[in-house]
Amino acid sequence: MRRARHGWHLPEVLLCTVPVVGLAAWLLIGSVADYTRVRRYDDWWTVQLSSAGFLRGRLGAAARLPRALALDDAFDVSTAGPGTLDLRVDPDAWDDLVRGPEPHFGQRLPATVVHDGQAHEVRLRLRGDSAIHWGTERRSLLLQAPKDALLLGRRRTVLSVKAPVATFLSHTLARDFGLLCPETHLVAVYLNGRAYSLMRATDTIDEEFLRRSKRMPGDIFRGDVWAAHERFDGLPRSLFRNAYAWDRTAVDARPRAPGIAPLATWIGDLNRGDVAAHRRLLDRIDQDELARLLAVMLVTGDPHHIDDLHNQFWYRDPTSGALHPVVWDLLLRDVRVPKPGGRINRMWRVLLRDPRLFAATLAELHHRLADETLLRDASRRVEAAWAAHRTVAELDLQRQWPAPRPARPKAVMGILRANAEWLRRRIRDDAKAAVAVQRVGPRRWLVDVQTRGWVGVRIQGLRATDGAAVAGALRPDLDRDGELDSDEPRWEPSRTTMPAGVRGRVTIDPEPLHYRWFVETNAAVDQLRIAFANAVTGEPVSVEPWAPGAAIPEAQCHHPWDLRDPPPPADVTLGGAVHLTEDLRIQTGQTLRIAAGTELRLDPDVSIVARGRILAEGTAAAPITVRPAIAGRPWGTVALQGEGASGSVLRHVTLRGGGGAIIDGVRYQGMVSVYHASRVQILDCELSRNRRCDDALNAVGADLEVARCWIHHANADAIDFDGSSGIIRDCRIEDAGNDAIDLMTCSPRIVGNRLRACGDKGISIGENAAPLVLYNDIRDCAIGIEVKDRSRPALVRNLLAGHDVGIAVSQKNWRYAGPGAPILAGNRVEGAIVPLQCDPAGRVTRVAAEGADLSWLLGPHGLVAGDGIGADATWATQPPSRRVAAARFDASLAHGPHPWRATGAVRRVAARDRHLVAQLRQGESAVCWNGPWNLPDGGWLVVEAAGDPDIQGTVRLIATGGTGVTTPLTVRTAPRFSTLRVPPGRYAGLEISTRCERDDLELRLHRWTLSGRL
Amino acid sequence: MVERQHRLQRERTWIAAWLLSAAVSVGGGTWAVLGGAADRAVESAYLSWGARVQRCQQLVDEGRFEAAKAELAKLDRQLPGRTPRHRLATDRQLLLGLLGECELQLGHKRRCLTALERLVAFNPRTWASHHQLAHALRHFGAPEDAAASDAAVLEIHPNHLPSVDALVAHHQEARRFTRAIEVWETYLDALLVAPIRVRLGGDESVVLVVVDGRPQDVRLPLTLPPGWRGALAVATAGYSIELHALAWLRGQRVGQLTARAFEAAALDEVSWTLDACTKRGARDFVAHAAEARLTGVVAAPEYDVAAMRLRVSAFKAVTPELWRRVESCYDHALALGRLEAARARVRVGGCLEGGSLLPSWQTKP
Repeated sequence: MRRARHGWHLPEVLLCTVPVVGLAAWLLIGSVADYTRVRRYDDWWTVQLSSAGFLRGRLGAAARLPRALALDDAFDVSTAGPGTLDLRVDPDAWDDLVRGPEPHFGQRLPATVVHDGQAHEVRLRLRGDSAIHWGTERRSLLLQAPKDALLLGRRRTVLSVKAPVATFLSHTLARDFGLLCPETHLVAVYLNGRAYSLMRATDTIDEEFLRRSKRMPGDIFRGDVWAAHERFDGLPRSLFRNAYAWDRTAVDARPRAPGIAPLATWIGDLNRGDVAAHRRLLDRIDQDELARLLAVMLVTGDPHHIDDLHNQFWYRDPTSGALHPVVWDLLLRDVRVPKPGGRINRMWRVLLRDPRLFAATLAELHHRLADETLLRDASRRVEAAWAAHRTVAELDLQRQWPAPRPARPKAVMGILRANAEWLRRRIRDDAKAAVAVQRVGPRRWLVDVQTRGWVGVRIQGLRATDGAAVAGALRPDLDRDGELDSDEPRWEPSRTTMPAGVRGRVTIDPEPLHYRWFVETNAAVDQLRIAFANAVTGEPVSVEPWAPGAAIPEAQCHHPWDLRDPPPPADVTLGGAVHLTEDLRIQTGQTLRIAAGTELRLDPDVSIVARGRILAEGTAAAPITVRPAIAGRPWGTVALQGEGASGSVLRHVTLRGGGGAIIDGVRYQGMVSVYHASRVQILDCELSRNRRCDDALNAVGADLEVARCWIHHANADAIDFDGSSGIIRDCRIEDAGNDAIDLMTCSPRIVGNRLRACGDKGISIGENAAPLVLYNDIRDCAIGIEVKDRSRPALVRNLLAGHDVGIAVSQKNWRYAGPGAPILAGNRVEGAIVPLQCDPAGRVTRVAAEGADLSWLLGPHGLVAGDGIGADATWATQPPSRRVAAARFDASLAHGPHPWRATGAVRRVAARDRHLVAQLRQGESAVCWNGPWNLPDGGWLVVEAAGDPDIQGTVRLIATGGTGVTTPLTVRTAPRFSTLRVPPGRYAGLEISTRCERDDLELRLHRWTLSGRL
Repeated sequence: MVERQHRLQRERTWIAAWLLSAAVSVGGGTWAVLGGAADRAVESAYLSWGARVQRCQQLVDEGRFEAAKAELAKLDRQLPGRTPRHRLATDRQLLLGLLGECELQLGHKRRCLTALERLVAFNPRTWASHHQLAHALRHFGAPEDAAASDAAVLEIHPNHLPSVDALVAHHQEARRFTRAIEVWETYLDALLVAPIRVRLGGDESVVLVVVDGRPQDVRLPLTLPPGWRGALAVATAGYSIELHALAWLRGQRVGQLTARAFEAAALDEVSWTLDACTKRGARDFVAHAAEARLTGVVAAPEYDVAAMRLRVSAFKAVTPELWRRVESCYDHALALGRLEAARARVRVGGCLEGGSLLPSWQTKP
């Protein structure tokens, strides 16, 4: 009544309007405050923002609030599986870290990360090079674990909020293309029990990354002048103009390591632009690898983001001097729409002046996109990752603008499929050329071809006007002097590929490139027509006519004929008494032959470096000798470098007094150094008394056979295998200053050797090596065999006598996060003070060898054991058995679902560090894997397990449509193998079933392997 | 009743005023946010900090160090940019540099060094900060510390001539000749790329030449008619250069057999017009400023030209005093072979714009 009579009163009006006005003020002031806050950082991301955007974002978030709250309530981190990280941080410390006048970028907070039910202590800090990583409610983080307790085998883990789904896809694609790229996973991150964000977890690029990628530790150069905290004011901003803006995230710290110099030289050559400099550039890179990198950049539509200013990581392999790119921060974009302001970086602009590189890129793309495999696998990966973290991802989609939101799998796969289709079409349709054919003699024709598209062409055949094939010779004007010279060769049509010229600017654009040919027909024809094919797809191409007399423009790019490799020089033969006073270099394609009985004397520091083959075939009666020219002053090295040196043979060669060398920036650590060559044989040789360098024989990334050699008085290690394979057999190694045989990250066979009186270990097996060590006789060393750093050797029937420690199991390098895990079968240790010394975290699996059939253990190595022990035993070779299926269990951030399935009385099954742990309750239970597996000739099933001895278990390989075969599962506190000979047949799955009489028993499954005969 | 009427009237007035002010505030705020005025205000507030630092710069330039120092000290407390990631980080750097300069001019050693050490610590990747600290340390009589700062400059900017000069002098005076030679040779070998502009007739190209005193071939595709005659202009970007050779490549025509190869032009006969540079020797040109440029008339052969090849060396700046010191160090170290090798790669002269101080178009993104 009152209101009706007098209208609204002030209190009522205020009551009704103040909340509305307050809400509006909160929205408006908050939006401006948000804008002010993010604009503290003046970078590419914040310049796109506006207060109006924040206002819309707040309104949108308010509208989505009910859905977000519902999703938030639905989470239960305690039930989350692998791929989910629960960060536990002191809330006040977290607020201090992310708020305040400016975030504390360098500050590290102690935190606990719970992953798959296991807690890890870490320190976390903010990371990222632009405000997108720290300017919103979700921050990119770096987790750093202590050295003695790594987080899932890693010291540092990066969690990035920037476009997690798209970058997960692009980085996994880079790995599909065989590029060096950190392992990448999509993870759901919780903060103090509440959903925080869907993030991309990846490794940092450092020495650990190299070791995980099975690369030799060396320099990793990082180029990043984009990050505002790394200004290089007053200097050229382009990383490919300024070598001093680079730093190193992994450092080759050995004496006389070249540091930044190789990169500076490379960048210098990049800026010279002439053909000689271009050749030097190519010498330092793997062209196929660069082609694969460019291919993946085109598939992901992002040739721009790894640019002149940032995201550059290059690994320099110290054993080859080659630079390898590491993929970092590759985005996913529509390849048809260039990034605004984007520009192909200077390195690509220079390298793309070589038309062969782009031709190789297109060939790679054609091969990868020939069918749907690449896209199907990518789709499966992304869909599975999204499904595993769907709820957190959905919550991220409700976030307030401008927090970066994850794209849905359909959206990212849509971009990828569109890119793939566009590239396929362009490769198919953009082989364009203009051609002019002129008669210049009775049977001679001048053919001018100009490529005008992305894709080159090749000559498919010669035709007469009636379409009949014309026989004749195709002769290129190789020296491009316009005329046919007598030394210009005749080429088959298959060799006539003419790569197209391109120019990198904002996009990669075609540049017309001229090729001149002379055709000499066998018979006179009135008119000559030439059939062309697409150089990549091989499909016929119709070309345009080119008007005679038109001026032919010179291209900016190099001409492939100017860049062709010169023919290798003539082979070199050495015989008699030879005195080398300077390095002898053998080029790729060239062969060095050294005759039996040759006496080589090398001046101090003089080396033989072969990129081609060495065939040094002495005889027992007339060995080849290599000695210092000046007594007491070491010569350098005999180096076999690269694939060109594959197939080299050193037989009956006596080498003494070498000292290693640094040549072309490559450190050769052995008196004989075999780097990246395969099928090398070193037979019946004597290597002794090397000086200065560590090793008498050093092999890196090689495959070689060392047999019946006598290696004595080595300066440090007699034989050092790093990342190499092959066999060391029947050798005699004595009085080495350090180890007789030193193995790192490799799996050779070491059989029937006699190792005596070495300064440290008889055999040192480290850094994730997995060799077979069989029938060796090792005496009088400090340690007989040492197994370190997650190495998994099989030590079978070795005789170890007179050592302080017979077999040691230890950890040396923290990066491998654990000691070794040898298999011991029938070894005999005599006279040792400590027969077996094992780190508490080490794992030793014993196998009864006496009278046992060890073919399951030796078969994969292609060996058959005879009788006896030590070097006098007999053995034979056979084709190795093949691995049909296997499971090893490393805890990782990979999301579920697990490949195994648990049923019955199982409380929990989880992958832990190097084993699968099943917590069992009273009753029956089973853990199963699905096949199918086909074993037409039968094979072996091997299961390695440990646990409570009260567990009774059975291993069953389930036959397709039948019951299969079974064996009892041996469960002891220490690991044991259970083996099962598998009859021929098809198998549907594997079941490991257990029976427990009480609760809280634990079964640890270390691995299982199903192998079949070849 | 009348009073009640008045009260109601007042109340209505208040209601109207409140509703009006609320509507104006919300409407104005919305307009400011949606129309971009709020953003412009925020940007302007950030820019005003830069203007304040610039005013201090002006005071320093005018020699009013006390006044500048007082203003800088106030700004130092207020300026938000406290990490190198902040958009005002460059203002913070400028501020600290100016503060150090004021203290230097006022003779306050400790305060000056404190300010400059803060400057270096703020962003250790800025060579100019190390250089300013080195200058201050030398001024206050701490040559060893100054040398360490010079070395820090050269870690980031190995082509910085004043630091090379200072460090060579320092080592020479301490009779560490080998160290002095190391510093000099590191400078000589350090990667530096000169953007040299070559203009031929109406075509202009920027070619990149590595500045190391060694000849480099530069190939430029172009089109010239037979018998073309015109100006060849080379702008050296402040680097001394030597033009070794010029050659022409005959053009090809579709379907025509014409022999071709690069044909040398008579470079010695060219009469050069020199801007900001001088000629020393037959084909050597020493630059004196960033605008150094040589122009000469060249004649193309009597056929179509499709490309030009220029063989050119670019040289780093060297002062006569520095070269004398370097020669003396080589002499004392009995490294005469290395001296001759270095001499072939050196032209005494040049200017700081040739490598030590780079124009902003090269250094800004």
